[in-house]
Amino acid sequence: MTNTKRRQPRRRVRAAIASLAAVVGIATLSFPAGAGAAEATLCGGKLELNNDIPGIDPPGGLSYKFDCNATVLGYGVLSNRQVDYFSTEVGVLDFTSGEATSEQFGCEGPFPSSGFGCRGVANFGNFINGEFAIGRDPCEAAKTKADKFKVWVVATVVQSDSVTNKPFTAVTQPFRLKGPACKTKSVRKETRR
Amino acid sequence: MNNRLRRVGVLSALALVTAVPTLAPASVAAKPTITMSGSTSVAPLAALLARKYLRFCDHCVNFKLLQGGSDIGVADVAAGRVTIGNSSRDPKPSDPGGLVFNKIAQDAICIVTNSANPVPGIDQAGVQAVFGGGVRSWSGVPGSTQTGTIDAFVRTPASGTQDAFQKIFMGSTKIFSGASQKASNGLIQQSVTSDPSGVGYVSLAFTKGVHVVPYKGVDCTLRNAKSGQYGGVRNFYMVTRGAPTGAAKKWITWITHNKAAAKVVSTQWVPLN
Repeated sequence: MTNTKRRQPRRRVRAAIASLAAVVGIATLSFPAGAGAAEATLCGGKLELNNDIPGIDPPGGLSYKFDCNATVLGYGVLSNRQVDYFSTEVGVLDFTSGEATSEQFGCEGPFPSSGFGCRGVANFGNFINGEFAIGRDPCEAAKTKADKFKVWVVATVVQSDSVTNKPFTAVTQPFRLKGPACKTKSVRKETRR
Repeated sequence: MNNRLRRVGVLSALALVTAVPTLAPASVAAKPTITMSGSTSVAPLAALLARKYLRFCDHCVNFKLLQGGSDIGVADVAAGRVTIGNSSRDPKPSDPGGLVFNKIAQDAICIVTNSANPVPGIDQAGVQAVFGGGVRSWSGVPGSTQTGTIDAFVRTPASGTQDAFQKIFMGSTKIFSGASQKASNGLIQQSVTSDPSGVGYVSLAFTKGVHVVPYKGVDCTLRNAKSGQYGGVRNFYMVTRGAPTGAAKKWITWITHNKAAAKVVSTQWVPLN
């Protein structure tokens, strides 16, 4: 029984890896011939605890913020925790001033689930800034290394072929969002006990 | 950005979400799924309520939330594509027959300007002049600190907010054809936030970062909407094909009768009880 419980996080991680492989597969299929000459898109961002989402009882609320070095037309947020809320409209902040732009995303998806998808537009480098909630405390100590709370973002971006200069869409690899920073004891200490 | 690129982008993004169903528990698949589409104004409330309901009923259902605008939701539910069509407008004679509009909450529509242009108040004639095109310069709007051309932002025709705004604020006055059409509350909010000459109207939940103009001498606040003092209040509906049954009936009944649901509604909207 205990062994079965221990195996579950591993199974979930394996399932996550399989899902992400599928995502990468989709990305590969979307590349037109010759598109390999384009530069790789990089995305990055972080998670923060958010206990101030109106209507969401803490804990579980999170803010996410990320950007890519390309125009983003859509993105998916995926987690190894059950997602049971996401903000349906997501704003975009200018990467130089930090102020709100006229760009925006609308988000859709199932609950509870492993994530959600958003469509809209964010120009090169601008920050996509949204909220979601999971069913557990994000700072809950992980029982195993594999059980550690993780969130990835995969984006649909516009790239330009370096030979023909023609724009095309591509799906990025999954990028792990950093955080959230928790004030609780470190996971390693909890696990040793 | 051309439309073809956008379409491909959207399809790819949706493919990602549908390609990754694997992390949820296996038992989830056996539960009934309530699919919702439609109003972008109702969507934030539906998302919050869904989270609360899942905890209340011990994850008795799954939800799928899509958007598109009230007209899309009404058309989707009429065609049987979704369980519930979310609508932020009242029923129209042109709606398909056999639909039941289940009222779940009320919402205030606020007139908003850029924070650098804190218009002290506007009455119905003023709203009709600004959005109808009768007044095209801020110098013609009493109390405005701007002097240039008014940039009016309105919603697309499929929007329930657009329909409610027309009915409550504009009456028989047609909206100025030169106004910029936006597909969601958030886009109007962002447009007005970044344009000192901008004016628009949004759901009360989307007023952060903009100046909210008092209408007929009453502030557009949750308190004034709840008390009935504020005049720009519209209804939110969950539309079903026929009377709701099964999981959809339980869900809608919970929203309209449960105290925990009313508490969620009360955060930014007006509960029925």
